Amino acid sequence: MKLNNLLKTAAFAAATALSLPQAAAAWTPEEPIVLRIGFGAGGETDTMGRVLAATIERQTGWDVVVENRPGGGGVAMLSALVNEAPDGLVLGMAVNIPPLMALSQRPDSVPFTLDSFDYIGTVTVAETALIAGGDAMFSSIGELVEFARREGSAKIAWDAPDAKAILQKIGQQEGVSFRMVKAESGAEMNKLLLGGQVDAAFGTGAHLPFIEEGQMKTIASLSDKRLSSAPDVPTLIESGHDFFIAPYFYITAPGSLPTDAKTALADAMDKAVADEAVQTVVQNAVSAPAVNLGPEGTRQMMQDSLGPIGALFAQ
Amino acid sequence: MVPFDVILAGLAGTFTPVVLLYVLAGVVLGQFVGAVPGIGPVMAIAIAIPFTFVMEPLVGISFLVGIGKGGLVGGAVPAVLINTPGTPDAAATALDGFPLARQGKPLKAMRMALYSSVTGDTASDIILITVSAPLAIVALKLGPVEILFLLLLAFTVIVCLVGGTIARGGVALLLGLLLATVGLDPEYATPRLIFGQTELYDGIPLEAIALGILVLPEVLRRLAQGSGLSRPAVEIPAGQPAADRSISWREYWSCRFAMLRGASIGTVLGALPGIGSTAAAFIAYAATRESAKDPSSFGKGNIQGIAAAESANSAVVGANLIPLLTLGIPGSVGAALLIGAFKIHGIQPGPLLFDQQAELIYGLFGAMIAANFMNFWVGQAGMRLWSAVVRAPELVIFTLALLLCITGVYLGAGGMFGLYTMLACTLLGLVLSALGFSVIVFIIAFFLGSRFETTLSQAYSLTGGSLQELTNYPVALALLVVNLAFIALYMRKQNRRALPV
Repeated sequence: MKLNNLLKTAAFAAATALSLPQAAAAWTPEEPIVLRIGFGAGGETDTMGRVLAATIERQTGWDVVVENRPGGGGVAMLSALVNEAPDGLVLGMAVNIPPLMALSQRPDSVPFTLDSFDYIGTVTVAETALIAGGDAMFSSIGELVEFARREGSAKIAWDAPDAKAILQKIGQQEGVSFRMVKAESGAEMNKLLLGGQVDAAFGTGAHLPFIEEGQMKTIASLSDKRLSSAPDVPTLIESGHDFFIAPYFYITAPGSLPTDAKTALADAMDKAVADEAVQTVVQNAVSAPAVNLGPEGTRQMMQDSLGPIGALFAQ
Repeated sequence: MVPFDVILAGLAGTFTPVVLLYVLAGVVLGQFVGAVPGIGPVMAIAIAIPFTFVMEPLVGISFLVGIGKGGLVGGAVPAVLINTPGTPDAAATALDGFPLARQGKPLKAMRMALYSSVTGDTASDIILITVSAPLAIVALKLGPVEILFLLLLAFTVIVCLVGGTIARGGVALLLGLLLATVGLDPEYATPRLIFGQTELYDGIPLEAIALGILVLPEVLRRLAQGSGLSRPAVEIPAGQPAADRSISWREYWSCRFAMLRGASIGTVLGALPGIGSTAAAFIAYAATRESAKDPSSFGKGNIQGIAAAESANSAVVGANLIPLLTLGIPGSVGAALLIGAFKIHGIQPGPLLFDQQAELIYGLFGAMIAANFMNFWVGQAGMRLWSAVVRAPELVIFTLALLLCITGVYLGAGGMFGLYTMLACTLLGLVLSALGFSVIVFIIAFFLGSRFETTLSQAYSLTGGSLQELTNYPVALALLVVNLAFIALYMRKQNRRALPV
């Protein structure tokens, strides 16, 4: 195991050592790079973006300036980003779900398509759980459905529209009523669950201490894989409901970047995501490991996600 | 229960030079940004958070708490001196603080604000430290339905007591709520009232509306009437007797009920996420005015009014940490930023915090009390500085304030767009006050608007939209009865005033 890690590190170091001078020779920014974060200052995305920017500065010697451009879960930032010159000096950090939702639901109201951008890489993919109070009478999605059938309805707190849509679809399929209660944050979902106002909620990290304490339990994984925090709990897909959520945090740039700039940026980002400081902050912020899919992987992920997101919100 | 030696070790952690130095730095920075219109402590905390990444957790978090606490003291300074609250929390302080300054007693007004702010802050810190766990459990039991009726009661109180008449106050309230709906709707993410401006997706920026409504109209008015370079912004008569400069113990003591009321209201509203310090200050102010023997002396420089407003807005800060530390739920924007700071250090606020990080928490409590003392001393020193600053000519002071508003909103609210929004809000503010509508009711409604909308939608989902299900919520019904009784009493009083018998 240790040897394996060592080998990986060595291989990685060799790879970066080989690729770096080449990239550096081909492209270096002459002005500071601006990283626009599609969320407000102080939040999780902002925190991860700022540490990533600082790490790139430290590793490459470039100047990276962070700007907050909140609005519509990143859609406002992306709407402005498409109009910037594709010189590699302006980048944006967003989460994939809000723009994919906007593109599938109201494409006419957003000034971009998926092809308007070049993709640099991803930072992480957050994990989502369906949770309930520790003493709830149900422990799986099937039992939750039965609970709702018996009681007339089940109240479920949500803070992301895709999670809400999935539960609504399940409710329709099973013919039971889920009263979906909108919350503004993971913390507020915890409050509603602990206060007994709702029967279940979604967990995106803020719930983990309560799981440890036994005040909450995990009912299902809403990710496409089992959760690192609850490896014994099946996914929705395993339970026969073909839905999942994969909120990727990614870095993008206005389309048609020069190849050398794109390569240099992608290399710098890959090296930064592998950095220990970034790994730690990402783990702390979203309770999931840092993951970089790289430029092509990110583009592929965005294209592959558009269809399922559209289907989720179709009536 | 946390062992006593852990508590002691935690407190000992506070009294290290590094922690105390950073608390002091935070308080100084907070008072400064609070006093300067346009920046504000929330923005200062947001900017400071990445820097705390390299600090020890206790140092970093104490520094941020210091900024927040300093900001509440600082915000009162321009509110009192030039009627332009540096933060919206201080708007209620201006109601009596500014008239007192106009009478040539700016130092007296600032001292009263400082003393009551520190008093309210300390009172709520003590409640946080001693009984936060049971209070948090009570707050948990108050769900969206109860909060909805609490917000409705707050609206009634503010409309009746600050809005002039019910009709005028009601119009201002509805306008504020309407403006709060600008942006993507929270349920379906459909754009509302944005007229194609993607910058408006998250609504009208708070900074733009606070500065545009509260600060700029006064700045423009004073610049327009300004007699140029000759007149100072605030005149302090030469050879002023000490009694007009300071607050005697007797005066401080005479405000004890106002401060107690302010601290209680601030603590209760602070422990309930989402209501906030601006509303707390106005409700405490209104309650103190209504229970006074001479309500008509309020708004003319009554120190009781300053005491109520400042103790209430400061009490919110400590109480905001009750849901934050015990449940991980932020009660305000500033508290939400603190959660980010905790998370950077790998600390998850919540039920385990007191078990796993007891030393850190008691260190933080120590730092909060230390910050209150420093707020007092820095405030004393700062007052001399500010009163010297505002003796500069009006033209200089108000031009500078204008410049700071422009810079602040440019930085905090999305560049030129924020600036245009601020100017539009200024126009709106001028029109509202010209027509006799209360801009204060308007801005509180705007601040509480999105919380109100969320709570309304939550309550609707929880009850399935059936009024019958309300019978399952006795606390909500009790709040409704109090609300109706308040309206009835107020109307009777109005009638008696209107028809003298």
